[in-house]
Amino acid sequence: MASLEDLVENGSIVRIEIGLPARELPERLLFGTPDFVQWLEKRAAQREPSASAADLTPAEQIYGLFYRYVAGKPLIISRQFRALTQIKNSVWELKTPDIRIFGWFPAKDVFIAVFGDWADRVKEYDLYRGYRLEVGRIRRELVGEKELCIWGTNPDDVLSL
Amino acid sequence: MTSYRFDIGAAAEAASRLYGQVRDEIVRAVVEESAESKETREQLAERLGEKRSEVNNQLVGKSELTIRWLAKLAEALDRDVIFELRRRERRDGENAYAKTATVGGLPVMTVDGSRKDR
Repeated sequence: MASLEDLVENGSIVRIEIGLPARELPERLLFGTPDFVQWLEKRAAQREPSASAADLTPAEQIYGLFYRYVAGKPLIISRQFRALTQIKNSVWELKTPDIRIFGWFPAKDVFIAVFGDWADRVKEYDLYRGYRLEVGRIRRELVGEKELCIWGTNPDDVLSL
Repeated sequence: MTSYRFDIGAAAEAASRLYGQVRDEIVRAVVEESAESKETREQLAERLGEKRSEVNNQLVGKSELTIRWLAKLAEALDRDVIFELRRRERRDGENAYAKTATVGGLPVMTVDGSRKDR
């Protein structure tokens, strides 16, 4: 059975780090597939404007989302206001006004991001099913059918709240 | 590559954290008040003189957040806004704030003016 360390060692996933302010330490771990990291690099470099008239650029939104996740802050304030949703089959979506990120939790407080895309594109072309199936396929390729995945459906199954 | 630092520059990161903190506080206050008073979002929007969709966009971060709007919401919720620019205290051993304002992949210009490649 592959461990997270094995997956990092063989280049299947990459640890994603973000800058934290003084006196804050990471409380959750974030990884991405090399393709996801490439997508992320583009977002950081290209500085696109928001498609939804948000104050923050997409790159800033992603940083803000990752900051809240890594620093251990709540991602769900109420049913309506949530930055984390389980789509199906333990594929989870992290979201900002402009961005959707899909992946899975191999352990509590550990997320592996597989795909990132624009929210309006995902909604317009109804890409949820496609991303869910693709994340499932990549997860099976990397860790098998039942290993390294939390199969719970509630946010508190995958995050320490 | 075993790790990747998502770096959008210190100023952008600080802005992102501040907006996130303010919006979380706003959403929390609205959710708390509506749970207590049973006021719907529609009714709150009416009291603010706005459409429900405009209020929702504010709450989810899909429109520009202004101090004027924040003050209007605080009045409507009968809450005070506490604002302070507190001087940072440095302690030995803490992680330092980034001193650069560059984006990933570009050379780093440090505050003392020297330049180094990543």
